[in-house]
Amino acid sequence: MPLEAPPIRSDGLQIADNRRFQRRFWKVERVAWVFFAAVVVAGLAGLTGGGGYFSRQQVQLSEAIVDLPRVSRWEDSDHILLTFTSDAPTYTIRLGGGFNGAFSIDQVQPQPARSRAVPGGLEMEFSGVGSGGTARIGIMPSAPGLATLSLGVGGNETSVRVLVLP
Amino acid sequence: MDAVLRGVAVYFVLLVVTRLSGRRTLAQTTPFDFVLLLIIAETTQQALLGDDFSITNAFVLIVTLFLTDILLAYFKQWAPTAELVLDGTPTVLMSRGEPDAEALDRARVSLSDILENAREKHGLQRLEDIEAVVLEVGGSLSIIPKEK
Repeated sequence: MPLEAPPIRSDGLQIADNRRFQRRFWKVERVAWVFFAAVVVAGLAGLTGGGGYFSRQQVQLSEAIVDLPRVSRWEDSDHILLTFTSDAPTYTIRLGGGFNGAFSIDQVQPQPARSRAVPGGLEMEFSGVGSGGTARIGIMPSAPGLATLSLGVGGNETSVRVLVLP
Repeated sequence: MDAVLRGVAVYFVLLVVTRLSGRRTLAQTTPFDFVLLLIIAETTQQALLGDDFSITNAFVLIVTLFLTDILLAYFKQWAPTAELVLDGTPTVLMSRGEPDAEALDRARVSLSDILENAREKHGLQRLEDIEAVVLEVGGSLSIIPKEK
């Protein structure tokens, strides 16, 4: 490493200051602070998951309203909440598509009467719940990324996306 | 693999955020800044370890962090521009006894901060006793007294 002494300024200080670079860096600093504020606002709004208005999404199907995460976080617990809207003795919930690769299930309340594997996911049958009743499925994202899964209740099925942040 | 990626990611996030927050944030030791440092340490702990509290994971993480630091030090030697960006340069806040208003404002250093340092380090009483003040890259203030 070559030894190079800093220059001596007109005021006598021997210092390697670089005011031109420093001015540019101060501008970058201030832009960064605006970005920090945007991150905080995004966090409050739910865009980074963990609660907040935009962190959840609702999907209306013929037999239920499904409340699930829009933005979730890797290795953080989350949940899918189903509110049944029709009067039926049993409800069949299908979580397919990329569900198995994207999420693992922590717990299901109430316990389904029956569950079986389907391609890419699983199917659960709830009985004795009734209209207005709910079922809560605790999930944990397995990996960060954009997960696309199919969600079905009864004969109705739809595709939803969940963004999992690292 | 997870431990290495987490370690490197958290290291660079902390480096960038600390660098962009402004140098005084590093050097100040008010109760608020002390609390901030404690909270940051706690916050990053979970992000680094995840749910793996094994000795192996901790060992891999510690080695990763030290190695990243060493590699960055070599990179800064090899690329002077990187050193400039990552460490910054000293900033002259006062020269020939005259404060530089632009530098003081941008660096968020007040004349009270300068006088406090002057009293602590040199026992100086007034601004007129100070020849020059430099804000060092680490965030500390160097006070050069006037020759008597």
